Amino acid sequence: MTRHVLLIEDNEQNRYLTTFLLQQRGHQVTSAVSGPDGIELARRVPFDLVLLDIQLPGMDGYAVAAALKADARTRAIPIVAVTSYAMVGDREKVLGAGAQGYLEKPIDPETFGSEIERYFAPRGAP
Amino acid sequence: MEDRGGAASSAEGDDTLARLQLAALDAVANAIVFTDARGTIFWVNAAWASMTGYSRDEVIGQNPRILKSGAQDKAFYAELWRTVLAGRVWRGELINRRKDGSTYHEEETITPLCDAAGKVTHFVAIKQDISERKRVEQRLRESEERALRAAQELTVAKERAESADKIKSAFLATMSHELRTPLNSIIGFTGILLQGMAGPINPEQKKQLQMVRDSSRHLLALINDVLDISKIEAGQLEVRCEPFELSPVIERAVASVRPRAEQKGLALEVSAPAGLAPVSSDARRVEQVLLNLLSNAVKFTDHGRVSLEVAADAERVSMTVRDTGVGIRPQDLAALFQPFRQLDTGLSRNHEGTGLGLAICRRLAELMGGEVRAESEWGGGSAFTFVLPRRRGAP
Repeated sequence: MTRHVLLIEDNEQNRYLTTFLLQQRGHQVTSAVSGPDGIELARRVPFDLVLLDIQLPGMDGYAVAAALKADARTRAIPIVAVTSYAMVGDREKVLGAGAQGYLEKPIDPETFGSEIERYFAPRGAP
Repeated sequence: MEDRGGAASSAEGDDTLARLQLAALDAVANAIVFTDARGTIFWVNAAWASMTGYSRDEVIGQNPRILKSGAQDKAFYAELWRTVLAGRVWRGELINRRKDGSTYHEEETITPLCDAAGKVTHFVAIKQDISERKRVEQRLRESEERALRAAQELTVAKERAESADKIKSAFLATMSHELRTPLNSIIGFTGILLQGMAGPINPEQKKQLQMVRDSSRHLLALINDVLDISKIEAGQLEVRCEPFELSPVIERAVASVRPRAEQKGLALEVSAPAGLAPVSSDARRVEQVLLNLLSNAVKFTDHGRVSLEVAADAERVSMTVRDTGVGIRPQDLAALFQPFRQLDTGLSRNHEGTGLGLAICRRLAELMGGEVRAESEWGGGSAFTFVLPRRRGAP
């Protein structure tokens, strides 16, 4: 089933890679290059999932996750964080900020799509 | 005790008493000097003579100012004289000069004697040499100051080190991100192409793309190793302590090296007791250590087998990776766990790697409260044992 994913990622190549992999599985992807742009989009469009890079310039992923969870319009959208620096504590910090899932870069193209799909809310859920 | 026999015998008794008193004063350890109201010396005891270096004959008729060292100013002496001329006792410390020119500290009490009219007629000064005490006090002060200075320097150094650690930590986080971001797309796109997700590729293209993928995975492993050892050396690497099942961790590590072992025609055997109880530690780091030991064994063994033996008791689990490889020379065993020391055996140069793996393994094991040790015989294979406490001890 086609879902609509919001991708917040500042690196162009990685944006293309993620978009390609999700489109291959039939999903629609809209991307934002910064936290504030992503939040703005999420308020207007009913996304099924937010794929959030943690290391964003300016407003980082933790702050974006917190802002999305603080807003009634975006609170229900599941967030999957993608981070490239796997330090101990990052996972807790990311999940503590409101993300449902956590993926580490480099992503594995073979499993990436199915891992993301685990976090889609069942259709018809609020 | 009192002699009431008559004037003559009383006078005789007084005379005896005075002589006894003088003899006693001469015998005491404190230096004593008698002067008239102007300060002219008319009697000193033996201790005074030995303290100052002047003989009795030399100083009778002199003024005690012959002892002045000049270390104390006019106002100091003016205050002394004001006190004693007013009929009050003066107590204090003087820095004086002996006959031989050396100076010394003395503690002195000057008691004025007054006549019936209250006029000062004589002074009695009793003193002792306190130079040694002063020296000790001075040394004590100096060592206290040194200790204080050392403590201050230590604080400064500690603060500097802490701020350097923070910078290092931020640098590592940034480097980790900056290095992995481009690798993410290299590995990702290579995977997409290899799977034909972007269209069909011919066998030669596939072969070359596999090389790209292998090289980038290798590069990623190197980056991870360098970052790990940097974090460990900077004291920034923390390990978790969560309960987990050991068997799946062991299976994953073995599965990772199986293709390479099969490619080399090596037997890969695992023996583990059934029903391993869970351990409380860092699953990811345990797997990392195990995987490292297993892939080293496969890497350095060309014929025979690699085995993993797991043994457990109530306290700890020990995992021994044994191989039938080249082995390690005794003189190389010591350097084995030092960073950047892939053994230069000529043979090992054929094996790519950072030479960081074992250094990381040992430190990770220690962080988890365990250890990694090696046994080997040149030409007789090697055994690496990873001992893991069931509950992580204090690192």
